[in-house]
Amino acid sequence: MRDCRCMTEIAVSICRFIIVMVSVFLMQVGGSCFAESDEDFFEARIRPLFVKHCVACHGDKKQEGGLRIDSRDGWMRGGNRGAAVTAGSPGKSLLIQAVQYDDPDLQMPPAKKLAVNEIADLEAWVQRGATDPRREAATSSSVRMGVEEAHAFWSFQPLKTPIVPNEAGKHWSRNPIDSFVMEQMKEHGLTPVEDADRRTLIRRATFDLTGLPPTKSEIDAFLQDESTDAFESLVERLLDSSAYGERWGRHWLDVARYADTAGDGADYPVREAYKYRNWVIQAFNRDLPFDQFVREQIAGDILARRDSIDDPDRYASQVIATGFLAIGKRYGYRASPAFQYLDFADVIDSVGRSLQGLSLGCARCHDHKYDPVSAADYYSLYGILQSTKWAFPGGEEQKRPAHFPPLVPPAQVSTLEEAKTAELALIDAKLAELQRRQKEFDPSWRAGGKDLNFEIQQAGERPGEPWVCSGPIEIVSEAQSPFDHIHPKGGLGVRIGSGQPTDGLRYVFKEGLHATPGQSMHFTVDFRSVTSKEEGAFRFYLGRGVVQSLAIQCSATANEFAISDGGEWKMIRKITPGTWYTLQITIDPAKKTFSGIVGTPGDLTEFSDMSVGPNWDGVADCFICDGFGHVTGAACSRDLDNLGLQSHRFPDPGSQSVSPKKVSGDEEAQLVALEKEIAAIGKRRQSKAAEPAYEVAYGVSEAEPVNARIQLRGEPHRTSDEVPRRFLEVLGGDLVRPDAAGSGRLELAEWITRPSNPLTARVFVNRVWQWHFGRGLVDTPSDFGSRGTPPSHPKLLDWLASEFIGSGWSIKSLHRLIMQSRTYQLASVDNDKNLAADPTNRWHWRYSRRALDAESIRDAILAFSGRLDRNVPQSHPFPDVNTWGFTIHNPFHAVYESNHRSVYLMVQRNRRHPYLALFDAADPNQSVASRQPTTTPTQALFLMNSPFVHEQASGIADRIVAVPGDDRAKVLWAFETVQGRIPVDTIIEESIAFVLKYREKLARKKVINERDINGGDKAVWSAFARVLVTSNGFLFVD
Amino acid sequence: MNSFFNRRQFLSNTSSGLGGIALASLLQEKRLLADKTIPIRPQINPSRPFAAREAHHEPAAKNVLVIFCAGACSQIDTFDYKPELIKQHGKPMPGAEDLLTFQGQQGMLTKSPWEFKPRGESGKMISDLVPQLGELADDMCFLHSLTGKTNTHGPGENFMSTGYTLDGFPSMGAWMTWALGTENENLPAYVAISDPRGTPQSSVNNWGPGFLPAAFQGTEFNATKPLGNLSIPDGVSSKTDRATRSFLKRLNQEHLNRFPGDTELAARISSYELAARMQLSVPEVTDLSSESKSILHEYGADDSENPLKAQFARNCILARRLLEKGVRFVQLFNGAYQTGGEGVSNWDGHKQIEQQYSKHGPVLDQPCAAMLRDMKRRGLLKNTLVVWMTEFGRMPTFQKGASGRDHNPSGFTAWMMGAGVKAPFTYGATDEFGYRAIENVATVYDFHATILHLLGLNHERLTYYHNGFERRLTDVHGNVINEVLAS
Repeated sequence: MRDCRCMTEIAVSICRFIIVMVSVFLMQVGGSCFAESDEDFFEARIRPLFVKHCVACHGDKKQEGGLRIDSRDGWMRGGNRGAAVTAGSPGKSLLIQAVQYDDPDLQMPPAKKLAVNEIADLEAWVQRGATDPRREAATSSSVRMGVEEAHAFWSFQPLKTPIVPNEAGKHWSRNPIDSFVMEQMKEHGLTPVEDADRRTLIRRATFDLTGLPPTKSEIDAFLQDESTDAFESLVERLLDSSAYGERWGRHWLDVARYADTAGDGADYPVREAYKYRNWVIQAFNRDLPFDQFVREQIAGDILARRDSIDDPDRYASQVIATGFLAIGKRYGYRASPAFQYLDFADVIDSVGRSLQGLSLGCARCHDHKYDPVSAADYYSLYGILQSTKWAFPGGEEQKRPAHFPPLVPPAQVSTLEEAKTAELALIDAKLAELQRRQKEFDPSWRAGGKDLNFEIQQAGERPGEPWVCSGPIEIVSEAQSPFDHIHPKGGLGVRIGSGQPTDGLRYVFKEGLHATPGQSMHFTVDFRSVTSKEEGAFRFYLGRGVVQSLAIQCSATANEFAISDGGEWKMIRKITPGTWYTLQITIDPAKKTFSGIVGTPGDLTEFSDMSVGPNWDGVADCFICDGFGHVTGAACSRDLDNLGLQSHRFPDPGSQSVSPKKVSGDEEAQLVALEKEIAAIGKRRQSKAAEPAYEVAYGVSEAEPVNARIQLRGEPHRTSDEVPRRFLEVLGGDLVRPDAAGSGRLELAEWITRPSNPLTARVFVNRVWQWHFGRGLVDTPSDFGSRGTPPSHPKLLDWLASEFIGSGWSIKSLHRLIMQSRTYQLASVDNDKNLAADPTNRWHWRYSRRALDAESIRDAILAFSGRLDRNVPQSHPFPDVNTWGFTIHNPFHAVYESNHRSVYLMVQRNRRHPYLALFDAADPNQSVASRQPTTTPTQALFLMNSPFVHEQASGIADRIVAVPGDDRAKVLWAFETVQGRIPVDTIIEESIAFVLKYREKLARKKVINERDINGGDKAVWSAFARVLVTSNGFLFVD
Repeated sequence: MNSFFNRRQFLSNTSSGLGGIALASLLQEKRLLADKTIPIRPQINPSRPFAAREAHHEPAAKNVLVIFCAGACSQIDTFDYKPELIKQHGKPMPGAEDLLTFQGQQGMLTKSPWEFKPRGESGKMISDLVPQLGELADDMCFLHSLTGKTNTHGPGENFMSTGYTLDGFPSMGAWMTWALGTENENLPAYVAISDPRGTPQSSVNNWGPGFLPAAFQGTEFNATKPLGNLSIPDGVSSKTDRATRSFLKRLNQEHLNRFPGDTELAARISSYELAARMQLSVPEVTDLSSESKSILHEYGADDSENPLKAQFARNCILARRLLEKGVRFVQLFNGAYQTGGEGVSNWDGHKQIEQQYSKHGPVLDQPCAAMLRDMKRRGLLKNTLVVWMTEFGRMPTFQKGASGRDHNPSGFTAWMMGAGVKAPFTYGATDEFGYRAIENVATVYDFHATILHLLGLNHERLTYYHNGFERRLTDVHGNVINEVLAS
């Protein structure tokens, strides 16, 4: 290589010399500008020409004649005839000879001779030194499996339908699976152990298919079923139970990296995630064909629009399915393309691992080091994701969810939105009417609220209801405003002394005002500063709640009045201590601006086009006067009076003089009733407004189609060539048709699920095998590439995959097939000879005993205690979205207790659920192919001492106590319930002895405490139950 | 099912001779095999997963104590003495006119509010913020030229503790206990002692197992917060507890007799036994009542005027006790997550560094120095490697309009002490102001590689195959810093 480079450098310098000599020639034939650099020349003329005419046969995919022209290294190395280009010498270059069509044996491209100017360009390029910046990645030539090589690799070969080796297991086999297994066993000198007994079988099948233990009566029924198809009936019953989907859906959720939180630093909750979880569970329960299961998860939204406009349930369900793409770990602070490259890395990698058994994520920074996946492959898929709109879950900078796709067709979205607006308008009208009547009745209700002029307060006291105050503050007659254009002239106002900045006065408008199209908001207050002593400013705040969402703030010192214009203080006018001023503000919520006046009737200062607070959410229901003004320091004492907030204009200052209302006793009663009604309707409005007009999902929808550029080293700001959206080259490389509308997800879904895809069925049947047996035929279930393990039973894998496709991708059929096999029904006993030859049971000479997983342990214990809640819960009790303010420094974290099945527990991505993490449940930060069960003392401590186990043991004890009969009967019931079997006699005797002894111990005074707490015999059985639920006979399945 | 507690995996590992050869020839065929990168897998007996295991080479240290100052403790105000900074105090930092750091624009160069003085015989300049630690300068090996990859706390903690800025990678302690097991199987092999104020920002990820078997995660407790589920619940006496346990053992034994070849069953049985022993051993090790008055006083555990210091001192005593008992890896945190505002509960001194560090310094200094002196007296430093670290450094300038320093991963300090390290010694240096590492620039990968090396582990061969990668603590980087190794 080094030599080659030197040669090229020499050639380049020689040809620089030649260039000068032949420049006139070049300008004539190529029409090229002499100033164009060699590299520009290549980019402008040669690269496109190669791509158009040569690379299809001389590139990554094909290397006709052993030649590649897709990199400099390729043509330098050359093909069967030797180097294709001799830099500087067109005459000696095979490439030039070929395009000139002079030699009948060497004419390229074969279809049609290139145009004259194209040939001239090529000659000029060679003449100029054949500058070519395209380099092979350093590693790819030595290590990486090429696309050609890949077609010889087992997992990329087309599915075969192997002949069943019937002879192999003639007398032993129950179905073809057994024949394939026996063939291998024979080859390895192994003999299968005996069949499992019926108790073992029902326990195995029940935990396997439902994640729950068989009940005693289920065991009895199975033992008594003497029909030949008893096991078939059992499997059917289990497949029909809703618990099946809860168990097998959970398997898929491991692969799909399911969590209920987003996973960025602030770990925002995702309220809609559960819909995808429930969709997966239902998909398994209704045996949704696997190809459709995949299609809907990748392109459900597109399918919904295409196929399900008239089927609302199906439409919603298909949109929800795209949660598969959206549910991965998110990295963004806000909904911005700037952060998406990391989100996409997760999606591409997860899709690759889960569906194709390929670690596509490796190709983000460079071509995959081992597998036939290029960076171009990666960015072709990236383009598809970039052409997709992603639900944004909320993040540090943008704290509210956005872009969640609706569960109704687009046409209905606007209808439903209009309906909601109309409904709100109706409520508003009703509310307005009631408030109008209220105003008529209530002398103290005026200008949008009660007692806005302090007239029902007591002079000399601090303001009471409906006002809230702190610090030095008092109702005084001197604080009566002189203005009476809104409130009648009364005798009281409020005086706020100088104090802490947090001291002051607050008023909450019960109904408040909500941004409504075409409606403005009006606010008013009268004020004056009493002293000029202090230097600081006091502030008027108007917005939602106690500075939860700021709309407006004004500020005054003794001498000047300022307004915050979108966060920036603007001086409005000078004021004089002791003089009363009135302030009127009109907000235009649509434009997010406000204008108004401040001053005295003869001396009004106008202001306009001020911006409201940048984060204002459109609600104004709270007024505060405190000391956080535009100038720091202690605020001066001030008087306030005559507030107002309403949706219609206030009269101008000085324009009228209003007088007080008078009411009778009867009217008082009506007023109380009215107030109640207003409060109720206000509440209804609030909840109605918070309700979405239509349901949404955490999923994806279509965006503007766009191709991505390759990102060098995975850095989004260092981009290289644009790549078209297409499928992985090694799996066909099909292009998204440029004229096709849409992102290409539908096409991607089709490419993945077409029966000719060699990976999809193989990967999934291997997973199902793994979930049944604890280990896949391929030991690396998410890596079918060169770094993975080849299958132990390649023929069986292919046979299963073919059967699977043949059954219409029915997962339940696959279960039946596998579970009917003798291989599945073997005992899990030892056999010394086999154990020595095949310690890991790779050849399935027995059924491998397995530890129960986290969910099964918890669900079973809850089932034993009778407290398992089998209902399907909906959303988690997350905090109200309007309160979300999670940041990296203050992330969301919660653990919600429930007695539902564990699959329904809230799965938090960053701070994992303590129980699920302790017992090795899947880490939702990435697609999990197989869990890593561990045995730790902290698990043992949980089983021995946790409140959960003790509470459930007490529940089990209640059930044991209720079992009729003596201790023996109770012991037997407990064993059968918890371990699914009746122990040997000695153990029964020892159990009874344990119970007796324990009872004796409790009878002694020393341990009276335990007896008191648990109530006599219950304590005994509670202890016995604890022993059983912590025993290996329960924690393992044979 | 790749667990090392898995019978199948165990056996295939013990027979790795054969499997290894088959794999190797396969790799050869694919031309995948590069030199010296053949992984060395620990051979783990599932019924004794924490049994001590051989290192790759003769280790200089057996145990590790990490002292982690959460919040990014400023090198400028502690260990990285810069006379030029004192001279240029109040002037702009040359070449940094438009420098934007984590929180924004930079103000002027600002000398430390604490005076630096020569310490020990070596005369190492250390500030008055940590005078007692300073007295131990002759036992310390300083690395002044560390460089990081992030200037954010969570990722910074992750990077220092796991070698990756993202969550989900195994912590250094997990790697070590996976590789080496522990000398005392009655106690957790790996203990994370969180600060009395709470856990650090990245919390459990600092001691997480990542994709390694979960058994090798750190067990978190401290002198005031006991291990979960450790005590028998109310309503059960220790007598009846023993009765249930022995009956459970009887049941499990009978079950095991039926399947004698199943090591997973045995592993579960032994886990109960360890748990039962931990019910005794953990309270015992966390019970400091046997410590003498003079020890409590030396650490500051009796300081009634500074309860926080007293609590941290108790954690320091606990750390020493754990190491004495042979716990492989102890991670002692000083500083917790932001509560009560920036820099209030940890070393994140952005705005009021003098005021805040004046509180943090005494909490760290006396207890930590006492612990190190105590360990030295007891001979623990002969086989324990002590490593002091923080997520990154801070700026020599104050932030514009504030009286504190912003984050700075371009050059920061860590120090080591005890088994296998050269002391007194200083490796690497930052520029004249302490801003950027310029001499013997070292990465965190180098730092990790060195720590693994001291424990007898080759950082390139301590790998775990996960999702298509041979993963390492040091990713694909890192060189052992040979200069800091004691000869």
